[in-house]
Amino acid sequence: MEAENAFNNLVVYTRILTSMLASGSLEVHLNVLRESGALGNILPHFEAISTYKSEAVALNIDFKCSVSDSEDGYASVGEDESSG
Amino acid sequence: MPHWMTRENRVSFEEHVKTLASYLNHYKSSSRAEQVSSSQSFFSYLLTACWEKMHNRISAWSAVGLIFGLRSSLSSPLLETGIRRFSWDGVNEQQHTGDRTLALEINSARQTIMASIMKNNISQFRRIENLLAAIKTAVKEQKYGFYNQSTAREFHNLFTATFTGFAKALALVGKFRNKVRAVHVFMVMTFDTLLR
Repeated sequence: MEAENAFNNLVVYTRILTSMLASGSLEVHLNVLRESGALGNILPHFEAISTYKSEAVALNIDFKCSVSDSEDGYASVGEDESSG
Repeated sequence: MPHWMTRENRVSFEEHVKTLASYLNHYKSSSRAEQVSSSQSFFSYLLTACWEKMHNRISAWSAVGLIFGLRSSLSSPLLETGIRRFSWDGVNEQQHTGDRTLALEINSARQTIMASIMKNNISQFRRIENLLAAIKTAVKEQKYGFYNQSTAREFHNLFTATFTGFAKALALVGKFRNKVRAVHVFMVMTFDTLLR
């Protein structure tokens, strides 16, 4: 039960955080922080934010079925049929 | 013991890609309600796949420094000065990429969850009432430019609390490493069975 609660909490935090990191509002906010100098000693770690941001975009998948349709209308991965 | 627990708790890349394809195919042929439900399950699946990498990264010194710096910035007078001085022309009421998703995510979260998130900040930096009201209005009017000079401070409170809570949650999940790995293997198999 404790493990389940911990994981469910992680889901909630990740959903909100990924939405934040992928939002334009955070971009503007980081500019506000940067110009204010309030980040001071954090500036070298901005790279970490960018890394999180790219992972957030990858995680915050909102597939609008943008995957290109194959002939049968399905995304396919399948085994290699030629290998028998 | 279920046979999925006897495996090495590892999912091959091929199995992962198959699961992804199963999900996409299911998504394409589902109703809107089913899409919402299956995308939530898939999000959990992705977390079971990625959490260890996320855990390693959030435990790195650079990330610890980032969290420390963010928390220090909460009480820094420079933040208030920066918000006052920033050139807000063209930013107020402007919707940015991804703001809609963020607004809907926060607006749909229960009050108790938001209160729980804000407990990660010390008491004087837990206020987000104005931000929540702005988001509620944004969702109602479908104009998602809720980030502006009057909500920037509370946005910072929420971002810092969420980031800190995220790190704590990952640390806690790390204690149940083996269980999460087993769940990941299990989810691969159920996704494969249910979604095909």
